[in-house]
Amino acid sequence: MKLYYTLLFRRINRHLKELGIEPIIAYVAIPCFMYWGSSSFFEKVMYANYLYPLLVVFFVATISFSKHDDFLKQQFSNLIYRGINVLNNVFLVLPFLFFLVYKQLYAESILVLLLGVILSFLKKLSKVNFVLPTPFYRWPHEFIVGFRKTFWVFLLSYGVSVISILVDNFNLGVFGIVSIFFICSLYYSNLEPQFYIWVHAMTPEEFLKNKITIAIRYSILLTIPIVSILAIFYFDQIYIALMFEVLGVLYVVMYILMKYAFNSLGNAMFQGIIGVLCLFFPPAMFLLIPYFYYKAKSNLTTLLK
Amino acid sequence: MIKIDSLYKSYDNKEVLQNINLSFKPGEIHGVVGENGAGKTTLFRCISGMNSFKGKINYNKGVIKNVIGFLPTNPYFLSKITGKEYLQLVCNARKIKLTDSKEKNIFDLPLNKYAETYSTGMKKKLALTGILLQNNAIFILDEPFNGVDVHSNIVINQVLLKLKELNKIVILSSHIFSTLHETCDYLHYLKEGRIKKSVDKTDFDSVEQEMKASGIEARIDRLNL
Repeated sequence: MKLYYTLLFRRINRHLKELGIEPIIAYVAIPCFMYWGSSSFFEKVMYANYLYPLLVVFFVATISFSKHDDFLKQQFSNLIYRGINVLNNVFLVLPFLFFLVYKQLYAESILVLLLGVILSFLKKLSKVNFVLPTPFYRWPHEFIVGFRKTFWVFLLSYGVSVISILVDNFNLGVFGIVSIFFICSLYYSNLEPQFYIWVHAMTPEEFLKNKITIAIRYSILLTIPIVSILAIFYFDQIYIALMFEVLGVLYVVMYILMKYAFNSLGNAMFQGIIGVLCLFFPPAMFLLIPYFYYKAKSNLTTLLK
Repeated sequence: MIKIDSLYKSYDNKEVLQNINLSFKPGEIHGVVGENGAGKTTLFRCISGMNSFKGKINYNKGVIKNVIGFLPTNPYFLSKITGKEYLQLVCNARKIKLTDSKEKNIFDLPLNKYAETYSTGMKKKLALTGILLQNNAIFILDEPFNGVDVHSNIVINQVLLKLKELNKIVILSSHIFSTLHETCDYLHYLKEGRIKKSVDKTDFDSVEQEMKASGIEARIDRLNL
């Protein structure tokens, strides 16, 4: 186990060096950036105490070392293997946990820690070969894959919207809409293998238009149940929900364009930083979307004619 | 017809393909042979437009990449996508309506299961089914027989002959000479990034002999078995 973590530390340092960052600088800068980011998040984002644990869960789910799962299972005993999985997730959750404790949000701290530990066991569940039916059959790819990996988020979001009616809290319902768009945008955080772009007999413009149309259609489809419930019970405030629908669509579109705009080194890192910045200041998307569109189109010309 | 003129490809100042000149006509099956690392896959990727290169590749019937069916050595499948959804995806990509996938499942694959859980041979068969459904004019098959069972190899052989009959251009690589003998009209021997020899069916044995003569026995002797 000690050797595993020594190697992990070395690998992280190598990755940082590849990105052109001296590890020692990164170890100082990352906590500072994390503190600044988290503080600003709580200052400027509505429902931050709901959204923050959700962000942590997705950070852990994305960064977790599932790719090495089979290797770890072969090399270590079941107990050590399980221990490594739990420990990895606890390490990932720890900085966020410290911040929540610092903010005196004790319930959220415990929730984040528990979710981190639970996620380490869910990795195994993600390997279950049960084929979950989805309404996205006609255009397979991001939404089918994403929905099968995160279907529980939709159950939670729909549950939250029902609770919002029961406790008479419109904002909680809007949070359900925001979380769905947020999850859908994450479906576009990893670039697909080259073959899956190349195979399209489309120009870059057609390809992007196709991706954007599908994403808008499917993400709106997923929020319809919440919007309908809110329309029935809070008709006078429905314009607020619709405004969040528009912002949500823009957010997803920006993520699609970013995926192809940053198709080289550090794709996920840049997307993450810009994604969080746009949560603080949504109007930035009006400037960023045209820029990313131009950049994505130019990158795609190497594979699409 | 595909015409390749003076194609060069290098990675980090190392030339992996040098002065490749080849032409492929409809209704012909071309085999490309050579040791691992000779440049076969790089050549295929250049023809299909996945890799940049110096030189010219001309195709007289439009945009070449939009009519190529490319079968990689190890096809990669996205996680949580079933075989049927994969076929839908590759058909959508070429704006082709997928009808009756059950009928077109010539390899009897479990199309309702996740493709990532398929065996090596099944993955290859799924990828091959995908490019056959796309109505391509050109087929580039990198090691189509590798990892596939005997019965399916026979099916693939028959499919290749059918493609020839349908006037398609087929370019494939294989390390199994007997299959090349059965299917190919021409063989191109690629060595260290250059076409060392191009022969028609009457001269296939000479390529095999040349490959054997290229120091294989001396290398085995070095093991002192």
